[in-house]
Amino acid sequence: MGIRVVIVDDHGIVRQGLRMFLGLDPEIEIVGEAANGAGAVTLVDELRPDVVLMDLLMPTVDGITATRAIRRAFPETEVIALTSVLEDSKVAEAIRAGAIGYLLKDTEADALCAAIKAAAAGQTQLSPAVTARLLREAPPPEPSEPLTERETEVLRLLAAGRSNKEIAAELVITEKTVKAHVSHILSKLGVASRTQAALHAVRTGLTGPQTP
Amino acid sequence: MIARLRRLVPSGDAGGNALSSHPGLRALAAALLVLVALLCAWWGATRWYRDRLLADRRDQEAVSVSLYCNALSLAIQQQASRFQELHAFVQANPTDPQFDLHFRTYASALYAGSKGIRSLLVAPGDTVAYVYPLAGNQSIIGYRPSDDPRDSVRADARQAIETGHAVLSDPLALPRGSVGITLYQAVNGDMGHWGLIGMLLDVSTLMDDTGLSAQTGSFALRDSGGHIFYGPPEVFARNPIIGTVELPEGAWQLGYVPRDGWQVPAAEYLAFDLAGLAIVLLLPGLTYLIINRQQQLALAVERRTAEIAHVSAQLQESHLLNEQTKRVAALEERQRLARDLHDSVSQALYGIGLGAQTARRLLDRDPSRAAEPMDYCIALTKAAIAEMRALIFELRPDSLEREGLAAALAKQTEALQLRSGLQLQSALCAEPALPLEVKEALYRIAQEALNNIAKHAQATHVEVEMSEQGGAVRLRISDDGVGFDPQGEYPGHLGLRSMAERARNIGAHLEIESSPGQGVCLQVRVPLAEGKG
Repeated sequence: MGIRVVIVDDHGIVRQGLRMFLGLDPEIEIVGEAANGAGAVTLVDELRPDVVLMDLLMPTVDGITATRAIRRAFPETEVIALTSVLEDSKVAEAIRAGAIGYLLKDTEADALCAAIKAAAAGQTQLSPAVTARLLREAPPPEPSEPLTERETEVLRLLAAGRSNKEIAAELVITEKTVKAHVSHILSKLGVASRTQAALHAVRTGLTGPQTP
Repeated sequence: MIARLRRLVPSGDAGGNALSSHPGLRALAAALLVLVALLCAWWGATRWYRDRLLADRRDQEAVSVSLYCNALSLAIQQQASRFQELHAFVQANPTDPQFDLHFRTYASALYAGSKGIRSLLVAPGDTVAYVYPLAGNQSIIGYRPSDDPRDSVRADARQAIETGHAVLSDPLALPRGSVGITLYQAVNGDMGHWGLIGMLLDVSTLMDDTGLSAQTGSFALRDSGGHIFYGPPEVFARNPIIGTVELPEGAWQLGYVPRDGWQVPAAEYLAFDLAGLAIVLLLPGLTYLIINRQQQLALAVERRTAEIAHVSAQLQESHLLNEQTKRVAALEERQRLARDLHDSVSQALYGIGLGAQTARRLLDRDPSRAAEPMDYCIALTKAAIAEMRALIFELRPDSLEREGLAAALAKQTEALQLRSGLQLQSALCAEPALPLEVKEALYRIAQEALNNIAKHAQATHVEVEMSEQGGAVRLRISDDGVGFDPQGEYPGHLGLRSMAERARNIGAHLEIESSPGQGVCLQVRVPLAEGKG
């Protein structure tokens, strides 16, 4: 079964173009489209997709609000922010809201498919510019309880850009166990996404900033 | 400039406050100063005036007194000449056997002719033998002046005998409280010294003859020896007017003091004093009024200057505010254009990119399916071109003026149709005869309405209509979208407000009809006549 994707954008022509292009990739299946944030949340609840491509600037309910709602209610669904240059400043907000990564609307078409696949695999990919911007912001609160040795190990690998599968292979545990560890890590750090967990690792010196 | 004016205003206020808190202080001080100076002058003037009045009165009295003195002097000399007649009579008849009778006859005539004579006496051999009148004077018979116990009387008698001239005695007290003076002269017979004659004069009666009366004041007489013999002696201690009474031998002094002393009646100087006082009080009042008025004027000028400066500063400020508003408006306009570019051209180009990529891949795999993305690209290109035209139209300031409102609305609807895929029907009349600012406002209202439809309405059909009827231009835009409650709060309400404001500015009537689920119908009516104005 392919990666189930929902497209959210207020511009019909963009949704149409994305559907056409992504439809070429056999691993990706477009399961639904929404024109604004409110529609997106309803659709995700209904379809439980693997990945949501989320436009940020939309009328009524914007992409950031929708991302936060989706990540809170459906943590299994990853969100990729889809932005144009005009919304660049919103990227950091989107990451804080729980987006795993972001794509500019001028991105090479191949990178678009790769990003969706990475997100589906739980891989964090951020540009150095966005990492720097996020790191400049106020530090997140201290973990409510310290991470275990194993969790710290998982966080280090996660921050290095490994997927769940790769982490499982490296630590010789099952992928399901990795997911459970990640879930604990997010809960203990009080963050919404793997990306924010990775940023925490960078900030605490667990690893250096990665390159996408 | 503003900063400088602001500095001026408070300093002006401060000065104004200091003055206004004591508006008449300076004037009051000046008035008091004038009052004090004038009171001193007034006091001096009243003193001087009273002295002058007194001096005048003394001068007047002095004239009267000298007249009295002359009169008294004359009266005495008159008596002295009568005495000379008596002397001639006696000298002629010393041996007359009927001397007694003749003397009485002569003396009675002399006596009756003059009130001042108290008695006449003849003393042959220096012993008084005849006296007239005899009644009450019998005691004088046998009196010898040269044997009088008083030195002065004896000296007078001796002098009269030795010189042969008439001798006036010093004043002597007479019985019944009167003062008398006596004239003595020697009479010579054939055998030398025969005897003496005398005449006793009553000074009071003589004084009465002069018309000098105790009613107008007190007067007193003193002889050459300083002996006060007539009148109250204290007169000479009361700063009297002194007149000289010339006598055949020596002189007397007459002292005169008015009955009420040397005082000027209040009535004479009261008017002067009061008039002076009135001036004294009036002038400080005038000074106060004048200076106070000046101060008030200066204050008013100062206040007005401050006000003008303040208003000027406000004008500058409002000018700056206006400039700022314009800058903000320009900035908002640029942001709107950027948003429009993002919403339309930028999305279209992204779509074209995606479509081209898709087509490129399908050419390798399944060229028969490449037509769909290619058509998509072509449609997007058309839409992008329409959007660009509409945007460029807006960017050129004279577009509306050059191409007209109808053309502008046509461009907008075409761009929206291509961008959104909405079904648009437009019915636009010929270019209406409206001023440019009215056209501009209508265009912006239409643009805002179409934007709202594209963003919020979720409509499928949109109608744009411009018509001219009944002397008014009507613009009507309606859709079949989700509608909204015009009374509710929406993020788009800012847009609604700006539409309403634009309509109000051109004197147009704006009407928006809608309810949830019923679409929106917007109408603007602007009268042609008012539009031309």
